[in-house]
Amino acid sequence: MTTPLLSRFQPMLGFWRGPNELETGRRGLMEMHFQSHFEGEVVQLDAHTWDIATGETFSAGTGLFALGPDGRIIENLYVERFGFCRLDETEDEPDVLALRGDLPDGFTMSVSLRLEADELLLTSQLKSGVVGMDLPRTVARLRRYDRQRGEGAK
Amino acid sequence: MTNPLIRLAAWIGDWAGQGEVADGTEILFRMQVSSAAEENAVCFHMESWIGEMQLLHGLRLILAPRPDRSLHCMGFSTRFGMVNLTPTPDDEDVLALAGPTTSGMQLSFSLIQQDADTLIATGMARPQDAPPGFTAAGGTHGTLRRVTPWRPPGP
Repeated sequence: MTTPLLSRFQPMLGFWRGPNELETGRRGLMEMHFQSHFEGEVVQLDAHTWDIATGETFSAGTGLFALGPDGRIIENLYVERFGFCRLDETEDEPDVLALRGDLPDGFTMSVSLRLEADELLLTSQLKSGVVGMDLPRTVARLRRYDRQRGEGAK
Repeated sequence: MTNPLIRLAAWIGDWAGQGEVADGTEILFRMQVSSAAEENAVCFHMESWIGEMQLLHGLRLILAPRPDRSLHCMGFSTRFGMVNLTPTPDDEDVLALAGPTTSGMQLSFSLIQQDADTLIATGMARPQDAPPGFTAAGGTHGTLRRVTPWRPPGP
C-alpha cells in the first residue's frame, strides 16, 4: 500500500552506509536506516555517525517524517548533540528533498537528500546567521547496505 | 542510557492489553518500547485497535533529554499528525505527557506503572482553543501487560 509520503520515501527505505566528512574536517562513517510505520503514514530515520579515526560516536539521532496540513514534508528531529527541532520542506529541484529548521541554540539547520541511481547523497549545514560563523557543509555518500548479509546489497 | 531516562529503561520491551474508548467501545492495545539514538532516547510505538483489527490510533513517540537535561517528546499520531509533548510533573512511576499537534489539538497521554509488568495507559485529545471545562470525547484507557512476542525458531 502506498501513500503520498511513501511515494517520496519508498526508494530510500532500508539501511544505508557510507563515508562523510565531519564538520571538524575529520573523516566519518555514517549509517542511516529508513523505516515506514502505520502503513506509510510516517517514516522514521535513524542516523549514526562515527569518527573513523577514533571509532567514537560523532552524532546520533532519530527523526520522523510526515506530511503537514499543506502537503509538504515535516521532520520532527532529535539529535543528541543539540536536542529537538522541526524541519520543514523547502523549494528545491524535483528530485531533491530539502528541509530547513531552527535549532534551540540559534543555529539554522539545512538538510538535503538526493537519490542518484544506487547512491543516496546527504548534505547538511548549520548556519549561525553571522557572516563567517557558519559551520562547513557536510556531505555523505551512502550505498545501500544489507545488514543481514553484512555487505552492500546488490 | 542517559540519567533522565533510566527510570524508563525498565519499560523497554513489548506490551499488550485491552481497554476502552469513552463511549464503551472495547479496544486492543499493543506497545513497543525501545531505545533509540544510541541509547540517548526512548521510542514508544503504540497502537490501539477496534473490531476486526481496524487501527483506531497509532502513536510513535521519541522521548529524550534536551541539552539542559529536561525531557521532551516529539512524535507522530495517525489521528492528529505531528505532536510535540512535554512531560508534566507527576509521581516517579508515572509518565505524563501533554502538548500540541499540527492539527490544532492538545494531546495528553500517560502511562502509570502498576507493577513491574503492568502499565495503565490513558490518552485524550481536545481542541487547543477549547474553553475551560470542555469535556473531551474519545479518550481511551486500558491496561497493558508485558508480553513476549513469538519468534520463529532458529535454524
